[in-house]
Formats: sequence, structure tokens, C-alpha cells
Amino acid sequence: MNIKVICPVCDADILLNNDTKVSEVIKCTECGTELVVDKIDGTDTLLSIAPEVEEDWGE
Amino acid sequence: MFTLGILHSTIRSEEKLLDKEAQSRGIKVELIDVRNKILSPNFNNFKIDVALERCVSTVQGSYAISFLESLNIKVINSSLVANICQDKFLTSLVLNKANVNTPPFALVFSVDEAKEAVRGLGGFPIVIKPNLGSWGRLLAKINDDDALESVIEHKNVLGSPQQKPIYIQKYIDKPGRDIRVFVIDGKAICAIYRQSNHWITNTARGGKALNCPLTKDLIDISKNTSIACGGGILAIDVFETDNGLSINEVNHTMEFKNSEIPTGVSISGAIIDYCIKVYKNYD
Repeated sequence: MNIKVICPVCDADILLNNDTKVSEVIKCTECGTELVVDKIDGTDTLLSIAPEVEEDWGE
Repeated sequence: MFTLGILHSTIRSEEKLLDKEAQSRGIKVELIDVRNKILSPNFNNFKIDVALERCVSTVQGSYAISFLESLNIKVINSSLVANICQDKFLTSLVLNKANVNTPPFALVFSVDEAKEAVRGLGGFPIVIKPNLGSWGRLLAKINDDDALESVIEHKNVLGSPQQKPIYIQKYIDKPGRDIRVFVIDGKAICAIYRQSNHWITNTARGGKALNCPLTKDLIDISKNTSIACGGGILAIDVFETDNGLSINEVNHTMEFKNSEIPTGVSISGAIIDYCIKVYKNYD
């Protein structure tokens, strides 16, 4: 079942897909902010603003 | 079966594909966010048989590999491969030593040596790249001395210590594309053209992925590149030049989500099959 969470930036409702993982980055469809999934636990699911790309990020 | 630890930081589509492919083969997967781990023999709580390093942060991934190898856990790719491929200068050195065709290059620490190096490489244009970096970021195509002085001054004043060594590569005029070959254990499994009107062709910068047939030349140079870099799972970036194929860069934690559809090859599946092979040979 999809989990509904609140965007920590604009308070919009966000539906997480069933295969969403902790540490995955998603985008709020309302404000466009990139968010990272910190915890998946029913109503205790948590999102926060995703970190900026660092100099050593890549392949 | 065995437990495969997928070492990660931010989870990308690639890690989800790998997780799915592993589970479909009956492998137990543990997703390990290295940012939440303490890397110390006093805190060893890694209950895995083999690790697949997929951190988006090169530095974090590199330390995680070294730590797990110290515990005799097999990591794909190894620290040997990661240390070479994460550094463009080291990659160029091993390719050159192995007589694998690669663009002329130099590493310098000052403007005067940079000017002399450019003359020795055949003149402008040249490309300055961060030694450690990816996704086509902070690349500078330099056409004259004025721009060379300016870019080096900016790097020296604004850059981190990693930005101070100046890696210079002769600019290669590409036919609106380059090639990325996916290579596992020395064998090229598929390739894409990265097509772009811009001289930077990374798909992260808008390059379009199209299937590229594997030719004998591509297969051979991929194998030789893999041997030079220590094997494992690699994405090799190749230029087509008048003098044949030339290796630009080698990536050790490649992204592939845009390449599975055009090539029709399950790259994620091939990676997991390689993990199984490594486990069986290591056990």
C-alpha cells in the first residue's frame, strides 16, 4: 500500500511508491524540492531536504 | 545462497534495479547506507558474504571498501580498481603503461608548467578536468593561454585541495558522440553511443543514449582496459579518433538506468551474476 507523507517544505501530500527505499531521493510534485526518505514506518515515515551534490559524487 | 551487501549512500534507480535482480535470484540483500555505519574493527556489524560498492560519494565508498577488505570481505569493485578509476591521472598512467590508446595527458601544479605541458601535448585546445569528479562537472575546454591562466587561478583560489593538481588532457574532436562500454570481468556486455551537440556528452548533462554495436576493436580495447585497471565491473568511455579508439575515462560505480532499454541488455542482472560468480570463487 502506498504511504502518504507530508512534504517538509510545502506541506503537500506525497504518496510514496511501494518500492521506495530509505535513502532514496524523491521530488515533491508541488514545490519541486528534492527530498530524501529518512525512515519508512507507516505514519512515522520521515522525509527531509536532500543533500546538495558534493564534489566527489558520481560514477 | 549468500548475503550480498549493497553499499550505498543516496539510493538511485540503479541500486533498486540491483536489489530487484538479486532478490529474483534468491540472494539475500542487505542495503547498507555507509553514512550510518562506524568503520572500526570494534564496531564490526557487517553480516554479509560479499559487498557491492555503489556509493554515490567516491570518498565514502573508497573508505568503506578498504574497511571491508580489512575484514576479508570481498568487495566489488576492489580497492585496487576503485583507487585507479576514481583518479583520472592514475587511470591515464595505468592505461599508458599497458599501451592502451588514451589521449595525451599531463599533471601539473602551476601555470608555467601548464603552458609548457600544453605545448608538449600539441597545443590548444586542451581540457582541464578535476582528478576526482564525475557527471561532466567542472570540465573546462581551454583554447588559449589567457583562459588557461584564468581557470588555474580560479582553481587555486576557490578550489579544494583536490582541485589544485591540474590534470590536462588533449582535446579530442568527437563526431558528436562518444561510446560507453559496459564491461564485466574483462568482457564487454553492451555499449551505448552518448550523442550530444555539446562537447560534453555525459548523459547526466543531456547526452542521448543509443545502442552501439560491439565491434572487435571495442571488445579488444575494453578487455585491455579492464586488465590495466584491475578488472571488476567497469564503464569505459571511448573516443572514436582518426587513429582508432582511445580510452577517455573508466568508471567503477557506473550508472546504467538509461542504457538497459537502448541496448536491450540487463546490465543490473549481469552485475548480480558477476557477484554470484565472485562469491562462488571466493567461498
